[in-house]
Amino acid sequence: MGDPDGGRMEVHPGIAVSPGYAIGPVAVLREDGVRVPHRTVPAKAVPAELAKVEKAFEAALEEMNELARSAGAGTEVQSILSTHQMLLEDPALRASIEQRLREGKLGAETAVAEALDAISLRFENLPDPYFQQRAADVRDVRRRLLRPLTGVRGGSKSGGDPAVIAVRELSPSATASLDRAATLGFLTDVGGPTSHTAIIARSLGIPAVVGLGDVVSRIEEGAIVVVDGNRGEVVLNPDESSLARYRALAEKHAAWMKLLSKLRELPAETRDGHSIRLMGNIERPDEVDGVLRAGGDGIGLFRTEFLWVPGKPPPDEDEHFRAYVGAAKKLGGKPLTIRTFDFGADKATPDPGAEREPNPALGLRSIRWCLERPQVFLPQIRAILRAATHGSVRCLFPMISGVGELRRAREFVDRARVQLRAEGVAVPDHVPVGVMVEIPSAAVLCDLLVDEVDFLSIGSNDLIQYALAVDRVNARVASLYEPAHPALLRLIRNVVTVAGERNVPVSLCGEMAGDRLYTVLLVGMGFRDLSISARAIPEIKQAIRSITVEQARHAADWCAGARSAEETRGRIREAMAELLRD
Amino acid sequence: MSATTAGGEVVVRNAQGLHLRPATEFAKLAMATGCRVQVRTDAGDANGASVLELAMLGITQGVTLRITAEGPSAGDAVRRLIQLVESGFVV
Repeated sequence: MGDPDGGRMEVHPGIAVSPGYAIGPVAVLREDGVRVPHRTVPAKAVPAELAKVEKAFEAALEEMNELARSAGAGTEVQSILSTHQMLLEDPALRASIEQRLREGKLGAETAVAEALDAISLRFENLPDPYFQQRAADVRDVRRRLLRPLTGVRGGSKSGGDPAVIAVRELSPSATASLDRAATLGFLTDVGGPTSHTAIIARSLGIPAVVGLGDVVSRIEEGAIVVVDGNRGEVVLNPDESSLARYRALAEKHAAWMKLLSKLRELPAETRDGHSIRLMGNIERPDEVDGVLRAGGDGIGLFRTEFLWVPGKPPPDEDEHFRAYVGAAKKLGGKPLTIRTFDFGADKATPDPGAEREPNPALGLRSIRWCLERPQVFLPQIRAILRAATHGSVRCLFPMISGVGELRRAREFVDRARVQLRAEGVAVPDHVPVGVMVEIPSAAVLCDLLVDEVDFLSIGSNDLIQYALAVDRVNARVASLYEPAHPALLRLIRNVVTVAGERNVPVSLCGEMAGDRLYTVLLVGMGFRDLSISARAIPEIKQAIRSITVEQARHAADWCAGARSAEETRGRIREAMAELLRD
Repeated sequence: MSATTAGGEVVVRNAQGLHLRPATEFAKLAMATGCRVQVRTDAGDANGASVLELAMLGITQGVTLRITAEGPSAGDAVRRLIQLVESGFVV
């Protein structure tokens, strides 16, 4: 592949939106805004032209059905396709084409092009940006209909040799009609992490770098390129040593993906048959796909802060609801644990009226802040209750310090339920409510808290910070931030033990849960639920599958005798080495 | 059942307005009622069974929809459509 006649090597930074490495020849897609000459026909030819239009609709719908089938249910591709399908089936669209054709005696392709151009123009002229963007969908449908009428091949690379697709901007339907097997990767000039291209590339598992600026116009068809979807770089005409380096990286990535897909099918079960529920932590609804792909058993922590865009008013109930239902539906019956707003300290509040505090980590943040703002908090609670009719939804309150605060938060749940019922909105009789144990007071009082909640979730990141009085983002003290500190382990152990005695499920979410060094310890202490990032799921699953609960208990008991963090870590390593020997 | 005509008004409450998905729900219901449904806003008229025409009105939050239905049980059809809009398009 190292073409000796190739141009000079160039490295272009972009935005990594879908991981992996693609190495190969590039296929440059030109945006195909098909130009249609104005053609009129004699009156007697009108029925024949109408029949052509009818056929074009049939062909477009059939093509779409096929694409939808290959995309699979519930995928992003399918939702875009269903929009286009709906437009194709719209009675007004056909009526408008037919009217133009009959009255103007137009050729089929002219009538189709003019009708759709008029529609996309109307969308472009609407004031709201959402509706303006629908013009792109209309243009997409136009392309689809004109393809059978003009014999112009569309933007799909189907059947060709495998290639990296380079295009200024990938239209939704071009993305959908790409032949997955022949598409090594994507690079585009425009777009960002939440663009359609990004979402679709991720859902298809194709490496992609977007937002390259002005690169596509300078690429020659067939040139060798590397798309580094991990770092967000595109290398044109790589030299031999870069090629070798990227081939090695690609191989490593492929081996990792293979292990991942093998582990995905296997249960997170210890060698002696105890299953551990491995759930994912997410920040946006579309991340559910990644968790499921990695073999997760649900969502143990859905951070909802993304819903409030800085500079904008707080989200209304419907915006909350849509995000939650979207995630719940993707999960089927698997749990979706929605943590209510946790603004403050490291997660800057978007509230423009917020006062500066000298010590924000100990200030008016998280649940404390929500309890003072019913106009922000209540819509979120109402949306959670409404979403609970669509899946296994759980409501999680952050930063609870004791029973009083828990009761005040629960009052919102009761109030929301009464309101909704009075409005005739269906709400399940029981929506599980839990609290984050992340303030040491909550860990100490967990015997009282378990009487009034359905589940607990230990937030180890904040619990470490508050128990050890260490700000983990402050580099000067960061070395004192110690998950293996005996004080922390005693706090955690107390919570798991008490919750276990009362049969209240307890999970641990926080970086500690995603670090395989602590897996033996956590399983041994009694955790049966862990919530981690999607990326860590395969690795932790593998760790779980290599131990027995009996061994883990011994290891945890032995570690409990350690007198310092260093000693704990030493004991964990020794225990793990012993397990590996067995 | 004899054909009737009925009408009513409703203000769009949900934040997005009549985006394609809500518009689809509206058109589906309009079609299911078996009535000829017309939607009028200050921006113009749309066939209630056409997602495209509804979308082209660019209906955002706060816009008043004047709905008329013509056909069997038109009153019931209008009532159900208003309910759908008021529910924030939850089906």
